[in-house]
Amino acid sequence: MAHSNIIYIRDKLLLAALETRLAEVERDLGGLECKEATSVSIYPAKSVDYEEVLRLLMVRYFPNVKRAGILGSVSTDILALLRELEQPATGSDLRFLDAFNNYFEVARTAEQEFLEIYRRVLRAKVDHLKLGIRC
Amino acid sequence: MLKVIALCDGLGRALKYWRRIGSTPGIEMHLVVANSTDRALGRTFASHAKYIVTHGLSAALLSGSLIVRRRVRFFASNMNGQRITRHIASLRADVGLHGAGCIYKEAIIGALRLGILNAHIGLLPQYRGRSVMEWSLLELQRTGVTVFFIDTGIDTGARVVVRREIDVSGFPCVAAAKTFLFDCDAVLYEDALRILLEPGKALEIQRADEGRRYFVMSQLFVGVVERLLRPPS
Repeated sequence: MAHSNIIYIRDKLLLAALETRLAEVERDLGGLECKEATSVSIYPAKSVDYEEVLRLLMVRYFPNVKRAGILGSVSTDILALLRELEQPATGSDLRFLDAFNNYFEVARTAEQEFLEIYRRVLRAKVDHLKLGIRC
Repeated sequence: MLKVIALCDGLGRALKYWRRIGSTPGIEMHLVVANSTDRALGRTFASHAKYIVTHGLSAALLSGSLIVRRRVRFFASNMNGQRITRHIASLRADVGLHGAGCIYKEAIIGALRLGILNAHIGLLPQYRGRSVMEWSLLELQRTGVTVFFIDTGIDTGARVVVRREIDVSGFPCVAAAKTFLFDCDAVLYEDALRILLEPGKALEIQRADEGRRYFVMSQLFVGVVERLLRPPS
């Protein structure tokens, strides 16, 4: 099978999975409309070490959240880190988006702020994939 | 001659390594069976006994023969326990084979002249960390196994001995493909040891900053990988 065909099939499968997940997140949010990202600054964006943010999320915090089933007392820290990943999560490196997927799957009662960020990320990624598939 | 210690957390895996490598010319093999899960002593030995019962006479005879020949030692502690480190140091071995679910402390790595080999089910240096077979498939890259000398980092050990591409596209599911790659460990350890026996053989060096570190894959993406393994005809 040609490589371009395999990419097409992969992207179609990803799109279907993410659309299903987006519907779940929207159902959990109960029709609340999407807030815009709040991290608007008049200063140049500080340089973020996305790899380190991802490592912190998946190594330091994720095992405890998985055990407890809730974001718990460190939810502020986790949400701050997830907000840092909002931009790379819509890009081509799927590890960043998967951090959101993982937290959604293990936190039985996800906080509204998390769901709002996740919904924005999913919508952006779904739009990118749809555009890519059309082209 | 290479003196090799298989560092295992179960009798089954230790015997598997012995059967594959134990009679390789130029290799003197020893087995260390630890209690990596820190289970109660009784449960640990019950699991060894269960293995022997379920695997019949050949497993019993081989285990007995290895005990009599002092080629296997059982420990109640996890692999980083002081008694195990002392035992390994006393054997003055060259190479350890990673066969336990643990991260090694420097003391145990340093107790082996060349270090501990790990059969990692991803192609290094690109795919470090967890769920790397699944990530390779999702990113439409080649799958395989890399045997390298570990350090205290996550798949960052510099010396790569064997890197083998292994196609898993024919497998019906992710779990079966992953089990197959894990089961290649003994064969690839044998290949790695044969390479180490070659005089003057230079090893490939990987840099810690090459490639990416991956983390456990979500169920959502695992579902996509499952579908990729069996695309519509």
